[in-house]
Amino acid sequence: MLTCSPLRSSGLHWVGLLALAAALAGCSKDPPPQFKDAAVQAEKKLEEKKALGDNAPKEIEGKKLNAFFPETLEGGKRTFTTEKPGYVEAKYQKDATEVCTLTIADLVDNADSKDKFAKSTEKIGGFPVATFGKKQTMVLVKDRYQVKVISDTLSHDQRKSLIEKIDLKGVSAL
Amino acid sequence: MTNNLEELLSSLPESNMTVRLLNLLDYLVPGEWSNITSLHTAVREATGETDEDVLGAVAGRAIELYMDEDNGYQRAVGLYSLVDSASTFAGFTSMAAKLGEDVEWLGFLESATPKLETTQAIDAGLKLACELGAFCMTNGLPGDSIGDFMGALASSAKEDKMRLAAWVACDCFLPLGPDFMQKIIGTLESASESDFMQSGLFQRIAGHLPGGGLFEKKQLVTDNVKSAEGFIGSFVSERGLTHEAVIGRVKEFLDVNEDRLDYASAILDMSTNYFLHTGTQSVARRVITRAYGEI
Repeated sequence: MLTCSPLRSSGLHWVGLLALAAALAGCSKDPPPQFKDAAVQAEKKLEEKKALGDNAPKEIEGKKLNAFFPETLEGGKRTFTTEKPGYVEAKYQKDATEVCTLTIADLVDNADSKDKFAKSTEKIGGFPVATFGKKQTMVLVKDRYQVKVISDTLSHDQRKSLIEKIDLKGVSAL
Repeated sequence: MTNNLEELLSSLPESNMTVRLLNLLDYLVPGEWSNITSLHTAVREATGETDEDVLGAVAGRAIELYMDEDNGYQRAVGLYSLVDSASTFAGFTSMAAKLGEDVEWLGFLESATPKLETTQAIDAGLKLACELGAFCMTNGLPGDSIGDFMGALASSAKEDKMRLAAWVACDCFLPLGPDFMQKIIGTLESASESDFMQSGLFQRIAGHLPGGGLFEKKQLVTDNVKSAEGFIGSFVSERGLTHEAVIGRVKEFLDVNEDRLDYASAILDMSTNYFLHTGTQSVARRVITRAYGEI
């Protein structure tokens, strides 16, 4: 831990103080960028969006997605955590422990996220199901809205059964 | 400021006065904060995933989301930056340079003029209002009611809790004492236009606050702080944060006497930027969590 007591007890030349200030400002570091390609792609995509101007695809208003989040899931109580255009997220907690996170995302401007459904073999309500990573299960509704359950503790089958409780027909009518 | 999330996180120092201060106060919110300064680590930590394909997809989407300024994340980091812009290395060194050759630590203390208590209270209130503003820029207004919004605010975690704990310690307990919320609200309600104008922080953020005149801006800040009073009260009481314990830690950090606490507050204000540091980490976590929800 840093203590400044030596400064207090002894006289200090201003040069020393500046040196201290430089030390306190911290070490700079220059790590190799791991995601340089992603940044280049993102810049390109942003330029394309700007070029489209008013014709750029419009994501649905977040408020319109709120209604599809049940008050409880698997005994957990809902807390909305994010509401942005095209994306709403809520956590479900039981006895201060997180049961799962439910997200609904409008993929109108995020086609890459739809690729994983191409090889889907499972369906819920006629809509394709996919997984990506070890904690999430998702369904693509009307080739546009992705409804996803993320959980550290629930299995893929359990996550699927939670998605079945969501009004996917309602989502498809958006 | 960069619009590249990876560069932004990498620009955070691994060790400086701010990081040392946060480590010192970490005991107030144990297990909530670690000093994450790379996108890869941030994605792994926020998602709990280990598969590199998944981590890469999340990072890629997070970079996209952050780069698009319409999403509000860059504005949130900009707001945190304004809160802390007096507390910069530049400010610290320019002050040090002015001190001349015969400076001693006590001389240094005397050039760090403590703010008037009114200004301290106004600044503490403004910082809290900025925190609420940055929360909305980052998370939107989650849910359909005030209850939903307060629930979202209370569910904030990790870096948010660390920043709030540091705010309570450095901007509230230290200059204002244990009944700081009453002082802040009382001051905001009774402060005159010239009181507000004496706050450098107010001058920096005024243009970013909604409302045309000073009265409207003052009302907005006061209403925001009042709405968060219960939340702050719970935060302090649930963690058993006490004035004496926090003061003890800060005195240990700066080795100042009881009668120099106002100077200690001024020194911390000038030499740390914990709002921007943890605010950047908070925004990065939110962008990453959203990216994980979208991939």
